[in-house]
Amino acid sequence: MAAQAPQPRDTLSGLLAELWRDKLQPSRSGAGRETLSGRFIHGALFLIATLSAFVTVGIVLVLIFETIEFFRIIPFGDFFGSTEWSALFAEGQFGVWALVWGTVLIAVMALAVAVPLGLLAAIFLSEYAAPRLRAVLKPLLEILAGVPTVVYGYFALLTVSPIIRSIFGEDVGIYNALAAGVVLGIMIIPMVSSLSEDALNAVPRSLREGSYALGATRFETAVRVVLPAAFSGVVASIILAASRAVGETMIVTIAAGGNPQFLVDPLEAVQTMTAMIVQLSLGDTPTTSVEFKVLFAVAMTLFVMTLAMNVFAQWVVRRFREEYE
Amino acid sequence: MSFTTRGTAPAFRPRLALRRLFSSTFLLGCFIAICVGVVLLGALVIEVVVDGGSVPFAPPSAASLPDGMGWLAWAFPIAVLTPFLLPRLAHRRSELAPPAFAALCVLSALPAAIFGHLIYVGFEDAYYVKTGGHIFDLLSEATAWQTFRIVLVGLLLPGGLLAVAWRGARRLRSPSLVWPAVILAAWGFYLFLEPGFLSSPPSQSPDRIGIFPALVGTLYMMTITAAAAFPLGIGAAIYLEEYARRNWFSRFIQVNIANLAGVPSIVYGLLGLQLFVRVLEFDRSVLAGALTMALLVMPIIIVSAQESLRAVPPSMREAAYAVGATRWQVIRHHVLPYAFGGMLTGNILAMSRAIGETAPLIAMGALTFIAFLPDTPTDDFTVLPIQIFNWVTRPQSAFHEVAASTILILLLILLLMNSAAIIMRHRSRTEW
Repeated sequence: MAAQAPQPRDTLSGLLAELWRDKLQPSRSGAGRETLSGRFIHGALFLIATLSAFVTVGIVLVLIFETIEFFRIIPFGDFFGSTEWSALFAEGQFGVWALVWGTVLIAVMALAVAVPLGLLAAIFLSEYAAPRLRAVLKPLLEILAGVPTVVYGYFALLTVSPIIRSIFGEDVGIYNALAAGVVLGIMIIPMVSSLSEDALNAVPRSLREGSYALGATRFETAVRVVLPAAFSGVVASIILAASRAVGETMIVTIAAGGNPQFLVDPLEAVQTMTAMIVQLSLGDTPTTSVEFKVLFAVAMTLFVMTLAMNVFAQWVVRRFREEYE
Repeated sequence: MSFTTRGTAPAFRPRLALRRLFSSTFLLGCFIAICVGVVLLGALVIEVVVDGGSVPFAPPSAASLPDGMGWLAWAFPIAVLTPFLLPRLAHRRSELAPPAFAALCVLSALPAAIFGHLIYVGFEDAYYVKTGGHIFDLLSEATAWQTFRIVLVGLLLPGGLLAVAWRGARRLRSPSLVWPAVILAAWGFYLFLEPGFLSSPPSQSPDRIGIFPALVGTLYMMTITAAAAFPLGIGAAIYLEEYARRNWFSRFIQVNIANLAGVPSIVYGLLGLQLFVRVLEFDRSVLAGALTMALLVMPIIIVSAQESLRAVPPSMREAAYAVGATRWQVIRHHVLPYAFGGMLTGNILAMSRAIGETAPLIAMGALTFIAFLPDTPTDDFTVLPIQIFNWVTRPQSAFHEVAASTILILLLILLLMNSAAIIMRHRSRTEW
């Protein structure tokens, strides 16, 4: 009798294949059979895909571990219950609200610049610009997002700050929140404009045509029909831009100064959470010190803030999306 | 809106001719490119030129070319570029016979060379205008003619590069303008620099400063980052698009990737500090920095690779399955080749994000004085953005000038990468 190919079960590889058969079924009907090497590839790709989950776990673990260490030394109440921050002094104060306030102040200024400009750009690109003009303008706007942030920092400190000083007088410091906020706003314009424009474009043509048929002008159509219809996408783009502004580091480190205070005056120097992390990283703080551990507590606060904003943006898109056929 | 009557020869109508000229797509692109060029780079270039009283920056003749040959600095690139521009303006290139085209090239190069020389002379004048160093002072104290020529020089490079981006956006297939523009840009940047700026180590005195270790460190780190991030990112995208069932797990991974893309970069720096620098004991090495960057850009790579995989039509896969291909054969031989261009574009864009990131490296403690080159992946290193940060934060204005010219180098690298990505995207784009 001619030698037969061994039954799959007789070999180790066949046994493994048998074991994995249930787990590695093709996901789509009509998909081809999988060989052993195909299964191996499938498994390897699966592991690679789960790596992103491990990155998240890694970030959370790293932050939580040192944060718990920090709260063993400094009570919870001193961190969240105070507005005094003087981490680098002996007997330092660790009231994180001073840093959160600086972050929010600069993010609000950035949004005050980016939201009007970005929305106008989005409405222009989506409702007014000819396709050819749009094909040129959109990539050019997105170039703004591709410029390294340290370059924006250079402009904030050496170009915008002198202009602000020439407007408001010499008693304004070189380092001020306004310069950082304005330049940060310019940086996040493409986030607002690009995402909003996608949302505006997704509004079906029939809505616009219905509006025109009722005698509305182009502006009325854009502002009263298209914009409300794309509301969820526009809001999500603004939230995402805000989250980017909160997490941005180099502009505020270079231009906003290092003055963690609870100030409302945008011409004063402030310090954000990210800038504080950089400041502490630049010094050679020993890894056992409180100054090192507080870095992670602040980063944890930052991480939770940005994560909440991202999740909120996703929720807004899901919850308030208008479905059109 | 045509006033031409049938049967009569069209008369020359200046207004129509003008409108045609301005509606000619190239002029439009140039105009927009120049506008953006003013905002982005013009001020920077002028600042380098005007503040360049100290040694690192000198006019082209003193920098890189022999005495008396300085005019070549500007005449050469313009002579290279003009033959490509003029026929395009006339919309006639395809209709001209090759000898006529060659003649037109030579003829147009001559005035261009003269024009370039004039610009160069203006450039040299401007260099000796010492104004106390502010761009507005320059504009008020220099003559109108000087200002015009300075601005012209400042616009040449960004204009050329953005014309490349514009062509990409217009989905033109022939990239014949691209390479002259690249040559032009590289030549211009080279001339802005003192000899040795690219090839010297950093120094405590701004007039002997160089960025060689930072340049090498950037390239080194980018290579390792790419080697780590591409396979992982593309592999994850293939799994999610081609293998994963639509269940809670793949949804979880998707949401997770979206959230990872929103994590501030400095948090990645802290992850790298704890994971790579301390636990795995890579120290503050190229390897630790590169792996941190790889984690940072992985979400971008995954998302863009997923998009290009999704763009491959299902009929392509079904046809391959129908002739008996296994799943991996379908992916390897049919899906990947078609999605490859889009993936590469996403990868380049991700790399251009990584090349400019500063915060994670600073959080890892990579801001140190490095005057040597990294030999092995475990050596200390420095990169361009860190050097820029270092110099910007110093009080002496001489260091600010050094920072400005390092920024020019960094932006040049970025623009080249982005142009390459755009060109590649439009070349690989296929309509189904």
